[in-house]
Amino acid sequence: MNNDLHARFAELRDEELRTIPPFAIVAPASRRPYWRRPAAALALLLIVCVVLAIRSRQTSFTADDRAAARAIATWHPPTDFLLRMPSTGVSR
Amino acid sequence: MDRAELEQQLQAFHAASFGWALACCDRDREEAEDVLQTVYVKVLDGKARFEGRAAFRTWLFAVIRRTAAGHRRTRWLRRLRFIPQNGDGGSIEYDLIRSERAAALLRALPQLARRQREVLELVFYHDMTIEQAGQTLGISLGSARVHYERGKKRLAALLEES
Repeated sequence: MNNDLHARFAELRDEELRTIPPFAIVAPASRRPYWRRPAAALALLLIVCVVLAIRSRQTSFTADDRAAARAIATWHPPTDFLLRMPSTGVSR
Repeated sequence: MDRAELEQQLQAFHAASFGWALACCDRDREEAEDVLQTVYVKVLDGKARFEGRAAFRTWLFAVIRRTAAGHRRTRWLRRLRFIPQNGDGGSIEYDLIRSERAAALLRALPQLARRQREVLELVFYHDMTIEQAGQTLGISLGSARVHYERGKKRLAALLEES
């Protein structure tokens, strides 16, 4: 049985592979264009440059600026005591 | 393996790969060409990587089988969504087969279970061992043997009938 099957499959193989598409016709489309990788690297570099440029343009604060900001944040108006209720502190 | 080596290997197995792609695509030549092209893209672009765990041909055939299964699923989904397809049906070129014995084999093969058919194709058409066939199909040696024996018996019966 094995010999008969081998012979039949061999005939089928010979028939089918008489007309195979040449490798060159099937394969060329698989070649990724060579410019893709350099283009991707360039795009990445451009993005990094843009991000760095934007960051360097951001305002930087000096120590005096920070101290002023802290002072404003902790400032209380002189009339602040008017807003105090007798129960203030109890509910806390 | 670098790109040049991969191309060389693909070229060396091109005929056998086409034969296997035909088997995986139910003898539809257009579909087989599409599948093979997709496989070459996958291999050369590194989406399918050969890591040397099996012989190159065994690995390549497994990639072809998986890709063909993916194509079949896509076709099935398209059919479900009623999307018209080019070359759907009618491109199976049985007429090209002139040998009566080979034609009888082609008529009998679709009547086997897919796994049985695949094991028999790999063993008799591609001269693989049952173990290599099992590796290609991702099944154990024991299960490959069972498919082989059952498939062979059924195929012999079908060929006797015809």
